[in-house]
Amino acid sequence: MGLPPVLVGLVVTLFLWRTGPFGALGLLDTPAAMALAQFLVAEPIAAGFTRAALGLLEPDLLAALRVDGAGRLALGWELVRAASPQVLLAVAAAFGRAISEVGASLMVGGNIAGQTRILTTAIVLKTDRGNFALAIALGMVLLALAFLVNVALGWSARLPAPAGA
Amino acid sequence: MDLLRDGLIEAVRLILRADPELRQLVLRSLIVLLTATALAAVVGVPVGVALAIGQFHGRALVLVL
Repeated sequence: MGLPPVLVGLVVTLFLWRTGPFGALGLLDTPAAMALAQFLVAEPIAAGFTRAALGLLEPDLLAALRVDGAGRLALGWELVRAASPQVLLAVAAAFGRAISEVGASLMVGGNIAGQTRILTTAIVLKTDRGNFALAIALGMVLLALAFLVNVALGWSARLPAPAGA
Repeated sequence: MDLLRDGLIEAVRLILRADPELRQLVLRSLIVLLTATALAAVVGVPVGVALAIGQFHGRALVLVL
């Protein structure tokens, strides 16, 4: 579950390279390429957590839905609804993976000032150059961003109160 | 310790005055991150469902990934 970000960076770079299969699109060194790379890094996490969440559901539920003659789409939808807090957690984990990777974004985006520099890649650069004040500021903002998004996701996914509480 | 203290003070100053470079980085990061996360959810959740309930060719391979 999960792909090494540098490997994703390498493969996406190869595909988007000027003379590569999708070079004509001119996507290398754009934010779109970075979103694509982060998507490839995060997607297996979302899939893996979702699968694990559904695996914890009562087997009876699946059997009952099948007896009801639910189609494949309806079946999947009902299962996701039944495990919705855990599925939201899967999405939060995918976000956590995207916000914590820096290798793939650096490789496919090129860390160009004003174009493809984002918080994580900027921290790499500023630390490298000894510009610690800006690096620390970026780190604080990154932490706050991760916190806020996780609070938002956690709030919408809040688990039912324990019985008797 | 001056390095840490001065860095922290200057960092807070940059955040408080909403430094333009900082603002731009935050905005771009959010756009890239939320795009990637939305795509990961739209594709990843159905893939997870298929892995949980379905039988199809290559399932074992996808499970490892």
